[in-house]
Amino acid sequence: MFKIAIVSLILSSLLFALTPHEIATQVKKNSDGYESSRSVMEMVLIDQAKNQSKRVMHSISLEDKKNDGINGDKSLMEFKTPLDVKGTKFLTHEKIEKNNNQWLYLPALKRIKRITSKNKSGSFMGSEFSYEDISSREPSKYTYSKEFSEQKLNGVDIYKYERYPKDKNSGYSKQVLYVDKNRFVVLQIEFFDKKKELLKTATYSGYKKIKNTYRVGKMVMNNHQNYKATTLEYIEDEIHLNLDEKLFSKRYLKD
Amino acid sequence: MKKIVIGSFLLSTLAFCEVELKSYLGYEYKSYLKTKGDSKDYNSAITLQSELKYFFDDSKIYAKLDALKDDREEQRDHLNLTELYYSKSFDDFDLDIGKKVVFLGSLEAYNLVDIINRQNYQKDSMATHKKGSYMANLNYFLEDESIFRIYLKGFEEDIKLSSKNSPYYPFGTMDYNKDLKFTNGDEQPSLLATYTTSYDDEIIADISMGVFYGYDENILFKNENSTLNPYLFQSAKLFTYDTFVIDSTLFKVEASYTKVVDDEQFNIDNFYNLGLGAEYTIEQIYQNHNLGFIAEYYKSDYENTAFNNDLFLALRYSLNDKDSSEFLGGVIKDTETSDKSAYIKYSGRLTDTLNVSTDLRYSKSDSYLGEHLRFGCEIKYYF
Repeated sequence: MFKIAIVSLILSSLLFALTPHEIATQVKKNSDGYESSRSVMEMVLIDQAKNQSKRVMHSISLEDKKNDGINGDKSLMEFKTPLDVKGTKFLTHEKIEKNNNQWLYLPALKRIKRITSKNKSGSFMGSEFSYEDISSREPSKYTYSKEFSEQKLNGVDIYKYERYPKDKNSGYSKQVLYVDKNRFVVLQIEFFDKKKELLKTATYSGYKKIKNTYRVGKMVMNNHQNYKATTLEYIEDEIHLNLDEKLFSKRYLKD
Repeated sequence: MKKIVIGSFLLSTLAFCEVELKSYLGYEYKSYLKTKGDSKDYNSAITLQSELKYFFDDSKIYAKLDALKDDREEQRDHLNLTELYYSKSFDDFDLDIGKKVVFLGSLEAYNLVDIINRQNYQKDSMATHKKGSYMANLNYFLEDESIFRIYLKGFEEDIKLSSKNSPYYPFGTMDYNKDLKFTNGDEQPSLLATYTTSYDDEIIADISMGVFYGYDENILFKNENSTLNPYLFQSAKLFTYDTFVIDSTLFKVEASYTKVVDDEQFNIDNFYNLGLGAEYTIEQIYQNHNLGFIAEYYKSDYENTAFNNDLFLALRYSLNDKDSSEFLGGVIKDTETSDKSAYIKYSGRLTDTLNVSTDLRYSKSDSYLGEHLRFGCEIKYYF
């Protein structure tokens, strides 16, 4: 009887044991289901001397529901400040395996310009966030460490594991994730550069749960190599808006 | 009582609409380090631009005002309503009516198919500053995200050039008349239609094709009683402008064929324009800095063209910093003649509301400009 109990316990623990990939999938599942969103974001760039420069962006996003492994989410972002770039719009149709389709609207020229980037590690608007940091929700873009550890981060029980970008044009060799064990939301990511040295640390806070979807409230990115930092805060964030897919087309790249 | 009703109506209207304003007040300085003949050795001017967007229901009113006051050259002074149009969105189409600036093209140095608006020569002859054109514009959006656009343009505005003692006055000591004339007699409207679509499978591309019938973008001058009179001639055009994405390189095409329709006075032959280009960016060449390469080649058999056999090579160095600092340097060389021009430009922000740009431009040609070297800088305060 005792042996049966032990075997059952082992079997059940094996059955319910998580892998880092499964944790990542659960994290994505917890951020899925927003359908479409409208956000006002405030980004503060902080240099080595702690001087601050503020950016405000309005953004709408549309969740990809097909999950076909080809297309990702769509988004349209409009810059409100600095004033010299006010009205500049950035339309992204995310691709899982290929380069994203991206168009920029330049209001001073009235021009819609196709842009392309295989390197997603470039700085987003001069900040410490890269395009890669703010767009990669898809677990299949990474391979994962075989194991994870269970620790505490600021008193919160977390899973700690590593993931490795599949894209050879990623700016990172490795990312170490700290995921809230109870809510399955990311609390911290450490980014390692191609030389395998610690480059940046992102911390995520102010999560709100709307129905079954977790939405982050604030992200802080600290660069350990240039000592700069950027905070990205969601001033307004609405989801389940039933936005029409037509809003994410070149029709809206105009004044 | 009447005032209260009107006031209440205006307040309630404002409460349900959205107004956006953006303006800058600037100072520009241009020093002519080398010019042909006796022309001004510098210009300095105060500039102002104000932009207003007023949204209500599914409609928008957009207005843009441009002003310049030069302390050395009165001819440059202007207060232009560059744009003022009403836009109404319907389910599948938008309708815009008024004065508007439209961009057509894909290349960087010259946009051969950007034929709707005319250049503001008072602002600067060496850089693109467009004047608005009066038009009715219908944009129809198809299910596959392709767009069909029609423009009906009328009321061509008179041509204002720089003053006679500016290095950019093209006619030496001869006078010109700013009043436009039309080779076909009275002015008629011009019609332009484009179709734009994107491909995202085996090829990734934005393809645009268009037809045009109306007054050509080229202006001809005729010496009549010792005065040069500007004439517009009618033409029919077929054109395309496209961008192809291959890996991380953008390949660009602009091409047009022009049939001269009504030209009994100038005997202009039909002509073609062709431009081919490529753009590639090396990202994070140093820290977050990007280095872009641009190469373009232009060919034309139009007899008054300025860009036949021109090769354009440029480098764009973006620091990707909080001030959006960027250096742009380019060379345009005519591969058949000794004509060449070069420029280097810096632009960036001093603070979040203070933008600065500075450039050095050189050109050498057999045209009225001769050998020309100019240093320019501009500072703009945004509010």
